[in-house]
Amino acid sequence: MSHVRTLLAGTVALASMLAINVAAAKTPQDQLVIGMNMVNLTSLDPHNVNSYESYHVIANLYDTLVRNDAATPGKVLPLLAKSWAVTPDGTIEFTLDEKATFQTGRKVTAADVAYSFQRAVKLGLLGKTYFTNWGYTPENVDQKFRAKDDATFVMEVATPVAPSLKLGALTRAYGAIVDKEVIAEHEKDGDMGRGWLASNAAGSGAFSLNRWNPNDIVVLNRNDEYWGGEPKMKRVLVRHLPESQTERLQLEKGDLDVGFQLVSADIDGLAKNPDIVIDRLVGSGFYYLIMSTKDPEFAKPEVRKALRYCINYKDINDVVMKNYGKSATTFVPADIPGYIPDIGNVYDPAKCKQDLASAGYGDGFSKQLLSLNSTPYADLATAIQQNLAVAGIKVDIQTGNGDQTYGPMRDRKFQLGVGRTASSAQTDADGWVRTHAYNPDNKDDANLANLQAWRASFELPEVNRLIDEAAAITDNEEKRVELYKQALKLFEESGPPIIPISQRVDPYAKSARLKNYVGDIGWMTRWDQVEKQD
Amino acid sequence: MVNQMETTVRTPVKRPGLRKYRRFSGSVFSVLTTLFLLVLLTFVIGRLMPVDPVIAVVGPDADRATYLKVKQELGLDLPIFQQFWIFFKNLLHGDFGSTLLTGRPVMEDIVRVLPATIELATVTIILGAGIGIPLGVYAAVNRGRFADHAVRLIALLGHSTPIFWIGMVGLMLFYAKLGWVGGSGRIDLFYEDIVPSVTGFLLIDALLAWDMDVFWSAVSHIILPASVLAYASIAYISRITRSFMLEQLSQEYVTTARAKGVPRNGVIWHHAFKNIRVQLVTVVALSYGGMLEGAVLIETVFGWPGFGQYLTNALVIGDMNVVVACTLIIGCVFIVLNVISDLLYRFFDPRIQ
Repeated sequence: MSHVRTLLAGTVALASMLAINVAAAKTPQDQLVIGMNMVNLTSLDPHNVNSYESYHVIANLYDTLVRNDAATPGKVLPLLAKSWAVTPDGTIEFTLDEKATFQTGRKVTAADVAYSFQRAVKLGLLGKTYFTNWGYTPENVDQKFRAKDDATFVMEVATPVAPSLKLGALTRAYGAIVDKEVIAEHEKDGDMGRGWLASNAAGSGAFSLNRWNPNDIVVLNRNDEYWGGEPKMKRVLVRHLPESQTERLQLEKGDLDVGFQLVSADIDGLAKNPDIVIDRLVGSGFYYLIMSTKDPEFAKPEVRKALRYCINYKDINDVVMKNYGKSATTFVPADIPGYIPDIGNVYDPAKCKQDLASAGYGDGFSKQLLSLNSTPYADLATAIQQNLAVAGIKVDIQTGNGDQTYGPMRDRKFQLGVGRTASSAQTDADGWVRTHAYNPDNKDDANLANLQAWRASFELPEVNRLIDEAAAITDNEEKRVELYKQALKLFEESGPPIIPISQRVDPYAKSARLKNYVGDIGWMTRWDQVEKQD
Repeated sequence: MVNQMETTVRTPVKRPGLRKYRRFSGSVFSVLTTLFLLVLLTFVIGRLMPVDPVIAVVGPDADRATYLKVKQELGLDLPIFQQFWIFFKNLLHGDFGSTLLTGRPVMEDIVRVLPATIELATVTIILGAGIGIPLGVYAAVNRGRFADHAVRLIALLGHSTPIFWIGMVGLMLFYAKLGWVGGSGRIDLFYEDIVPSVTGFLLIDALLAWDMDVFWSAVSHIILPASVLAYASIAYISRITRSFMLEQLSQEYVTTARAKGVPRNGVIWHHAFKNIRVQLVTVVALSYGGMLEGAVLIETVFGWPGFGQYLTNALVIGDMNVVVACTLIIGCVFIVLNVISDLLYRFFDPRIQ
């Protein structure tokens, strides 16, 4: 029995030592501690990322020429470029801030900017999408992106695109400026540092990369010599926390300062805690219901129009999409120039039934609905299933992972689907109208999978023409917005096969101790001005 | 005659050596064949799975040209046997390839995640065997009494309660409410990078650097996940120990020992328990091996950057370089554990020598 007593005494001693040690734990004043699910943080190469998580890290390792103004959506502020001028043909000439230096201490030059954008296009990775939309190709970038002198970078026009569109897009990760000399040191077989930059950094940002262990941790150290002024935090630590409940406990205990990707129940729980503040980033994109017009029923505009009356948008937004989305009735959000009020979604189940009966479907029909198996998609699919059942439409929900759900949509082999779009320019009507309504080539082999209208096999030539015409206007903002409005109106009147349900919202929780933590709508949240108060 | 005599005398001396050599080479051959089949099977299953690794790399919205370019870069456009041949050749040179998503060498990642899992599994098995074995013995000795029922109930609960749930409740109680233990991860985040990584085992590294703050932080973080895992392992080990002990306690030599007046503890520990040590070694080794595969659910709940999460993430996206490397390592772990068990058999059971 003496062994048992010794064991018990040892356990009690260990427990009390642990308790003393744990009681002292709290995030220090000069370190920012963030929790997030890092599964989508797969690269640190600014030209090869497209996730919410990666953008947050990239925004603090690299600077872009311009950045979003948190107070005024659509307005951009100087960053590496202290000013810019637009010529009548749409060429933009950026003048770089002479104070700007890379983390090596070398001055940021126009040659670095030209190299960065050329790299994004030549490597052909995720970052090229927007540049290629603007007509830049690996063949023309050497001429179109050029350094006039050390401090002046010129972005010539490839195809007519509104300069405001380009400026808005250059605030994002693929607009990051990399240090061409550091990359040259690590280049292998002409890969423009692709292999090395995936897990290293060569920027001018407020923080330097200490280490990144995928699905574990990112440690950033303060760049003491940051040209924009010394950041307040000595270190930023980002930890992989795949379980929302664990993240919530850590936020409540004060072991985390910021928590991303919390599930709705945890957001609601944390909202009641006076030490926690919930911020909601209203982001780019919609949660939507899509119909394939290849399907004989959905090929009929009267069926598509009737279906739109069946969905109880208010209840879905109040219950299922609470904390994930914001109610929206049409494809351009209310705060973006080009928005049309009183258009789009209306809930009227009686009219839905009546219109379906007039179209010859009084007894309804059966369809398969594809959905991701994660929150909130699966719940959204179930809510839509219940709404459509009222009108006699029997929906069989098929859930799966990204490939199983988006794969058939990309291949245009589906009937119904729910998903989430991402606008190509979230502060401009172009991004919203183009993503949902534009389809310049309705053939199966055109592979325009990032355009929702193409996925739905739906083409309106007049809408395409209006969008093309609007995008080419470089000198008349009013006319440009008017053309997008016309395109949107035409699209809405046609009984579109894509129904917006909610505008994407990314909620996150932060400690009330934090000052100056301002989330960026383009996910490029900067941590250099963040402070803590006790 | 003399030569013939010498030959006849020498032959029996040579034979055991030759037999040992043959047995050894036979074992090596069977191990290598097993590992080869393991690689082949994992690779083929991985390629036949309906998961597209290219989508994981380029994202669902990438255009066709980017998709095809990355597919070609990854070598996924080649016939499956050619893909396997390239993979196998690289493997023979010790090159496990790179991970699909980050492009980092797989080995580099494994060297990072494996110590986290070994550390957790080791603390777990110390707790599991340290508590499970005495409990099992105690239950067997008190068969049919209250203590026996209590131990069996604990074992039943340990087996039937989802470990994920126990982990969550443990965190809420001991971390959030009572504040006795640390939260998720291996250490409080702000202690990261304070001690240099020498062995990869945080407890050892902290002691080597003699930084007791870091050491206690690491202890406070490992104790809860290890205890939760140990609970399940205690349930298993105590149940098995109980049945082994019951069998021994009913043997005649135990009755004889009792009749000879050997004290109760002496009968239990020096006679009966001595005879179940060999079987227990197998049970504990298998249990430990299972934990080295990684406890995915516990790693997820506790944000533990271990082998289980690493392998699971790779499986989800179809990163076969990682899956095959991890499968091979798991195979090797079991082979090593088998060898260690064999050695321990010899130590505990002189008859085997």
